[in-house]
Amino acid sequence: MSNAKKSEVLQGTLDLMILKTLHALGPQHGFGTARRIEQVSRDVLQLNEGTVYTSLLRLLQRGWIAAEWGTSDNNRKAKFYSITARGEKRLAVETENWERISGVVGRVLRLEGER
Amino acid sequence: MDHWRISQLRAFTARMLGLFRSRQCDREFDEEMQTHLQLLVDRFVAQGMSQEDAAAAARRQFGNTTLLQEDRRELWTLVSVEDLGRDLRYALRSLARSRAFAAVAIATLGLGIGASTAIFSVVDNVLLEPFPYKDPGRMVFLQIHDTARGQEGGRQGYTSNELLEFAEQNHVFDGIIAASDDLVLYKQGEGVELLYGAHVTPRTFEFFGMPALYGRVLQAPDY
Repeated sequence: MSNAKKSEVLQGTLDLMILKTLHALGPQHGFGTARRIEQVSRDVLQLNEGTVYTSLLRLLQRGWIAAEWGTSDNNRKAKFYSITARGEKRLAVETENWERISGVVGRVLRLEGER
Repeated sequence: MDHWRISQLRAFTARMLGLFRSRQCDREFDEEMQTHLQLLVDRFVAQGMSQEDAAAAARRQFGNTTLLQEDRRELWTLVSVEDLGRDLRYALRSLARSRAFAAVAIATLGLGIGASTAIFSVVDNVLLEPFPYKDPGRMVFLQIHDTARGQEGGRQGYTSNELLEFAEQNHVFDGIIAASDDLVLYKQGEGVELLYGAHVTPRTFEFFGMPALYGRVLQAPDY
């Protein structure tokens, strides 16, 4: 993986990243969310930005975020998404899950060396 | 786990609502995607790309908008048609496999639905819409009761004088009518039929708001 090939975003992890972004930055439109993820991932992730919207819809349906029409910095009509109290709770749970699972996967992948 | 259930339920509700506002959502979603694309184009142009290259790059980075609309619709609909077909086929297969269970289930459903329908039609007739009259809820049947006596109930029959006096003093009811039963013998050809007839006070049919099933109702000149 040392070449510059970008990794696909794992199914489901985009939801978590968006939830975290809204938690960290406050209300954002879809474009802002995509920019933030791009920025943080430092071009490691291959992200079809359109999938951000599918993810936002999923989060909306679960009641973890809320949406409101507003005006963006350059005076465009845009939908702003913000995390709800329920979403905050979910984020805490999912973050813990993620850390636990990635810890386990990491340990499993390192097993070889101890053979 | 419980938390998960609730969020599933919320998603389900959202989908139900989605059934009713899908077209507006389609448009809004389109608008949102177009804005996003435009912002990407602006950004690439600012980085020095030509308008054309920027548009292409933006489309590449954003992905297939049609696919996204489809994903979105799938999220907002209850089940796709294929899912529905698959579920139906599965249900039929499982029912065919366990015939006894299917028979019991069908019988239970049939009896349940039949019983509910029967009970409802009785309740509807007796409690909800007991008579086909106009404003049946505002009709009362009066009894004369001697307040000096402790006994319940009273007399339902009135003499003509009582009725006329009552009608004259009335300022509570919109109308007052009275009737007295009278058996009628109806001769038809060779047979005679016994019918239940009644003498009624003027405007009785208007009071009930009922038309005549045959012929005409009593009118002013008849009285």
